[in-house]
Amino acid sequence: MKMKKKIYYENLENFCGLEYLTLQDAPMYKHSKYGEIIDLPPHEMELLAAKTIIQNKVSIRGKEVKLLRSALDLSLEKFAREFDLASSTVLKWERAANERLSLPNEVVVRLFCAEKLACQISTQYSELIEVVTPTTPILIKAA
Amino acid sequence: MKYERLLMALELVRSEIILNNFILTKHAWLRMTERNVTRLDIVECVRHGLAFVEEEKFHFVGYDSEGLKLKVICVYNDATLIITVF
Repeated sequence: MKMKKKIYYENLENFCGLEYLTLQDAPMYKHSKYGEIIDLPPHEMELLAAKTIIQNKVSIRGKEVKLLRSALDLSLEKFAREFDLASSTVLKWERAANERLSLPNEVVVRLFCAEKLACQISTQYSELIEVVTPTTPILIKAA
Repeated sequence: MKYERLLMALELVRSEIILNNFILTKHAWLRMTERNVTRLDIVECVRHGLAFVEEEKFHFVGYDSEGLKLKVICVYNDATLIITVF
């Protein structure tokens, strides 16, 4: 007989490795052998984080690039090709995890990801360059 | 016969991960956060890495996108479950 999962909810801080993201009420359950299990598909979690980055105009650093690329399911080569760049350039961005991209790169990455993630953002230049460095956690609802 | 079954189970787990049909333990999630490993790194490690079986656990050894060694350990328990990543 299959055991029924007893679901409880917990906040996940540093969501997707980003210090300013907290996933609220992530569904979890306990397994007798393997401990706590997150009852959400990882791809869904990455999409939630990626959409939050774009919608909240968060500045894009190497860490964000890596997460956005993963959420979009694009290899280094495919992602780089979208911007007519070499994959080594994107790898360099990602390795500099805490370094912000240059303004032109940040703008094109933001526009590309917004389109792929179906996020509505303004294409006005003055609004595109206006980014936020979060000082308080951004809360994402899991459900 | 046992070997063939193991091989089939290994291929099942591999394809489930490649198709994103897996879940994570909180421990694996925290390790991913610490090491800056994404879901795509796991998928690529499982797709191209070496695999071996130890009791009911499946080990995959490969590299992440930054070229660093990555090890993924999982089990099949109703669904594919990743126990840890390091």
